[in-house]
Amino acid sequence: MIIISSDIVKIDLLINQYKWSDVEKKILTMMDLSKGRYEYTSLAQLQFELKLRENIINASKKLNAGDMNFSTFRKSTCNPDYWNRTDEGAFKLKKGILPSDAIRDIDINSSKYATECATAMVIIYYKALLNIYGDKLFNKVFPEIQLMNWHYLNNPIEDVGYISKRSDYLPGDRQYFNNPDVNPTTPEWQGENVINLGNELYFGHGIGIANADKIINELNDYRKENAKTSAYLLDSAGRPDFKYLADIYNESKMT
Amino acid sequence: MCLDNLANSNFSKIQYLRSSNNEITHPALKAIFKIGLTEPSIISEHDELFDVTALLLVKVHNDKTILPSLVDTIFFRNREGLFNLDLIWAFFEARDPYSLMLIANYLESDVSTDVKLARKLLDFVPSIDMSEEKNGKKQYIDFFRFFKENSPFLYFTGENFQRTSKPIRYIVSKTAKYLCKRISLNTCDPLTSLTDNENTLFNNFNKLDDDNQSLLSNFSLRLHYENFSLWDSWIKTSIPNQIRTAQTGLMF
Repeated sequence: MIIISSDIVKIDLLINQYKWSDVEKKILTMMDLSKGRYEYTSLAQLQFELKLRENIINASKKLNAGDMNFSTFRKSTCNPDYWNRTDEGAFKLKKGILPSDAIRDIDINSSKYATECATAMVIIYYKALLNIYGDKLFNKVFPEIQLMNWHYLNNPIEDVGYISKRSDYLPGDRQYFNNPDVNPTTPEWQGENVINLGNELYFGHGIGIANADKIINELNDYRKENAKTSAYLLDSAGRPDFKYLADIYNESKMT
Repeated sequence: MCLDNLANSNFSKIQYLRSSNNEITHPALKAIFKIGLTEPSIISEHDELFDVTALLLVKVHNDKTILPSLVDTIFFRNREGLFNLDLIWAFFEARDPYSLMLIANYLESDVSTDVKLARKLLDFVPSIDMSEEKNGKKQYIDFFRFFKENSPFLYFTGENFQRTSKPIRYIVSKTAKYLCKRISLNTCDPLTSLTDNENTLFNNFNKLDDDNQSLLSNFSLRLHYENFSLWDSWIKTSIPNQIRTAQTGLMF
């Protein structure tokens, strides 16, 4: 069910009244059929969420198509023209560099970058927001960036670090495959952070785009000897605070 | 396995640990761990060897004797800005709630980065406050009280920093606290089977909302500790009556 300003939305009317992409239409339909309540104070808030979800999916596909490598934090690499690599393996924006240029460089010079799955998720969120916000607003909202899994998240995207049970799992959600019997010598495979791409496909950095079974099989290959428990998809998801990010965007358009 | 062979080449040491850890004995791993402790290194590969050794000791050999050294190394690396996430993971994978006290000791540290990390690692405890103003001594005492009251009812979730920015490492089973029954740390099941009466209580309790569950579980444990015969009478009354009594606290 979708509710805007306390009114239940008639989905057919909404779909016919405005222009939506196929992905947006699909998400709208899922929200409408849900037992959960998707509540917004304005249509603009809903439109922003759909737009950001689609951009998260697109950023995931682009990252998958690029040459960014998978590595542990110990062996992480970045383009030193834009980032300083810290001793713990994080990427810290260099002084004097525009955040928008540094994030964009991860696509342009993708082969210079290597990191693990959670940091890749954070990069995806920044790329998606840069695409919507544009350089000026993005640089204002995120003047400093440090990339290292769910640590050092900037306040406006802090919520992506938390995962919890949801009534639905929608395209653009961040989900997690847990691997409880992982081989202790490969802790980087204790699980896989993924973006839900829709159509039962997920993107996880280090594995690529695949369905749940394939991701589980990949993780199972990194289990300890005589492991008894298979990897599995957790019944939970992480989401940015879509409404807060939408309000930042919509307010900026008014000034 | 000959430890001397491992001492000569970093590359071969890590490769060997990864590929043939089944052949490495517990004493040999312990020796590698001790060398790592006495020779803290700024070379990442030395640290990596130490981390993998710690993980094998904890997860394969269930060696909890290394936990005090592990905690000190985690906080040392934190002060130096070095990578410590694998060691943090190893520490919690030991699944030893008592070892949380080792982290709690750092709540009172004079070094602010120590205090910040200790709070972050214990953030799943309700009394832990991430704000700077909180007094370290008070945080330690609050944690100690929480632990003393709830440790028999904790179960391990497996959450970690790869999955979430705020892992909830352990959860208090309110049902177990209400029934005053110890539970398995790994499965959350009671260590002794429930009687028919306890099963009924268990089912009724689980139908309650979160607030009433908290009320009854806290009250029940307190009464059980203070006066067992009164508790035994109270727990046999109806749930609405239990709630009324707990709300008024009449039994104290």
